[in-house]
Order: sequence, then structure tokens, then C-alpha cells
Amino acid sequence: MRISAHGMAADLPGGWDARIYRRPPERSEAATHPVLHAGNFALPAERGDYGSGAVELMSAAHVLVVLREFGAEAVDRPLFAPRGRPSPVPYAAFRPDGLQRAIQGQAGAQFFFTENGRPFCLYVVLGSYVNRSGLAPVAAGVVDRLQIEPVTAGPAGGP
Amino acid sequence: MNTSTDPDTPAVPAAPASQRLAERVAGFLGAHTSRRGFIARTAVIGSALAVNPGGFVLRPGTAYAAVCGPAPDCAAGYTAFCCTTNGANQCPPGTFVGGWWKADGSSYCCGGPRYYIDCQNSCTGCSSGCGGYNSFYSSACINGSCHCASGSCDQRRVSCNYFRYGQCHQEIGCGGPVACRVVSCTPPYELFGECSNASATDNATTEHSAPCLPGGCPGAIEQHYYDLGGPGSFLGAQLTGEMVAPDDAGRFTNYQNGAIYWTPGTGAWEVHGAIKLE
Repeated sequence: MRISAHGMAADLPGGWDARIYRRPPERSEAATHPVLHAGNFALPAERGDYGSGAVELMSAAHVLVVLREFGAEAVDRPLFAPRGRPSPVPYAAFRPDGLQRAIQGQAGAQFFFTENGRPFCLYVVLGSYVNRSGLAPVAAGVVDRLQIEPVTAGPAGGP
Repeated sequence: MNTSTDPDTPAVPAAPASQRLAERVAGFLGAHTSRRGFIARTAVIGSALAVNPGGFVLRPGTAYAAVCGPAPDCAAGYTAFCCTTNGANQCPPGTFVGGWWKADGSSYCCGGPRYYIDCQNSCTGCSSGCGGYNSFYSSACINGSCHCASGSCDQRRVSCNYFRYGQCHQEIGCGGPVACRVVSCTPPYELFGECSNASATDNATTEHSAPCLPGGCPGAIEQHYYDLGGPGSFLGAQLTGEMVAPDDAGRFTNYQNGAIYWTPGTGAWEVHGAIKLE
């Protein structure tokens, strides 16, 4: 399965579900940016940008990958200083308290970086901390296959 | 306070049905409990009816649950509100604003978006754990330790969740877990200069609340009061309801250490200190 939009693309194994979207801004002063969600389970229609609504449905065998872009002002700020996504996603980074919302048994890891001139947060949730040695490589394989196009001139707020 | 200051954000009028129900429940409790217990229980029930009348009356559960909204327990995995942990709706000392999200259609913001601001623990001096892709210090380097809040019903997590939304203080490459949450009906990039306008959405938290936060649909003065921190802020406790200004040009509310004025042309602003004393 291949999915592509907003300068992002993902080649996913069979059985994966994915969406790339960009919400309309709630106010004229607000900016929104593209978000990618990919999971080896059926994603619900209603999801928060960091996967709320989906993480509650995950079993111990499931993985959720979130790639969220930020505005151009974030480029070169210390939080986004790392160049390029982590490859492979480090197994040791996953922790039970590394979640937006702590859910019993799960583990999460978050990575801020800049790639091709675009600032991102990569957030990965594993359905089982105990089984992280089996799930982390699955997530890493998907993250490695994500494609991020170079930044292009476009309307304010991102590509 | 139940009067409106802003025609766009009218306050919720008194609900006669809720009031009648509160009086009936209070009457029942008064006949079945001590005076102290009666007062405490009716206060919580009154808050529940004001904040979430439908939820309290129609669904099984406690008044505490109706005030604090969904998932108020520590085990539910969400972070507590700062007014529960530190008395004010603002980031406490030893933390910094780390990011924010919005929840759409919140009754606490008159049906509009409600904004949640994460206060991340700061580093205490050591740098263990920080660097490269790791944007969090080890627990030994931060101010807070993970525990459950001890609010009457907001018993969510404190300094437990190592997660960062990322729109604020991007010059800080490493931080600690989320200490607590601040809420507002005002976009964070208008409240905090260090926050970008890169919007994030999570509607799962739309109805999260605490007894120390305003209920219902706050008017402009009440919104501004809580944007400044509420009762735990420099303004202190509220002393009066909203009143019409002497020149009839707007409205105002008095607090222990100042006042907030509102006019259609200027919006709400606070006056305190020497100017107020004059």
C-alpha cells in the first residue's frame, strides 16, 4: 500500500492502514500542517493529531506511527536540531511513560528533527512495552520507508 | 458570576430546572447528613449541575465525576490541571510552556475551541539523558516526581508523561515530563509569545475539567481572569459579581488585588497596583 499527500509518502506492508491529512485552521491566525498516521490496525475516523482515538484501540501486537510537521519557524531551533529522522528508530527509546496519554501496557517514543528543510515530530506507539523487541523493528521498518519531499515555496503554513 | 460581558460569548443563564433539582437534592441531603457534610455535598452537586447538568442528571456517576469530566483518575493516563496542583491556572515555577493543543466544540468555551497548554518540568542543572534525538532529561534532573494529583476529583497524573507537543519554547531542546495543564479559550500564541501558531487538535479532552476552573460558558471578564491564573493569580479571589461601570461604558469585576474591566471596544483588561489604588 502506498499513500502520498502534502509532500509526504509512505510505502506500507500489507494489513496497514494510513492517512495523511491537513486540518483547516480554526482561526485565520492559526496555522495547520500535514500529519501522517500509519498503523497495523484499522484507524478510526476520529483521531487526535498524536493518535488519540486510535491508541485506545490498539492490542499488544499493534504499532502506530505519527509524523507531524511544524511551521518553518521551527527549523534550526534546538528542539528540531537533529538532522533527518532516526534510523533505525532506537529500541531503547521506548518507555511506558513516553506516551501522550499513559495506557497500561503500551510504550511510546518521540523524536523531533528537521529533514529536507522541514521540521517534524515522529511519535511511535507500541501496543506492548513487554514485546518492544518485536514491535520496535516493525515500526522502524515503516519509518525507514517514509518519504519526505524537500520544502517548496508555498502558502504560509507549510507545503 | 453569571452575567455576560461579551455579546459573542454570552454567559449561561440560570437554569431553572437544574436549580430546582439542586434544591430538591439539597433538601434530601439536609435531612440525611450533618450540617458540614450537607454544605460540602451541595457545593459539589451545585458545581456539577452548573458545569455539566446533562451529564450529572442523566448518567450514572458522582457529582465529582460530572465536574471533572471524563477520565479524571490517575490510571486514566491524562495529566492534571495546574489549578489543582498549584492553585492557579498557570504554569508553576520550575516549569515551562512546552506545547499546546485545541479541542473543538467545548462547552467550557461556549461551543468554540478550548486550548490546553502543557507545562513541562524544567531541568534542575544536570543534563543526564538529554541530547541527540532524546528531548527529555532523565528523572534525576527534573523538578517534579511522578505522582497522582490529590484534587477532589481531578486526580490525574503529575510529572509523569514524557511527551511534548512542541510548539512552545523551541529554543529549549530538552525538558522534563508534563507537570500539569493550563486551559484557556484564548489561543496560546496570543497568551504566550514563545508559542507558535502551529495548531494541533485532540478532541478527546474537550470536557476535561476541575473544580478550580470556570464552568459553563464564561464571559470575557471571567475568561481574562482565568487567563491570568484565576483565584491563585496576583488578582486573588473574586470579590464581586460583574457590575456596570459608572460611565455605563462597560462592565467590571472586583478582585482582592485589582479589577478587570471590559468594554466592547477594548475587550477585557486588568487594573491593579498603584493605578488601581488611585
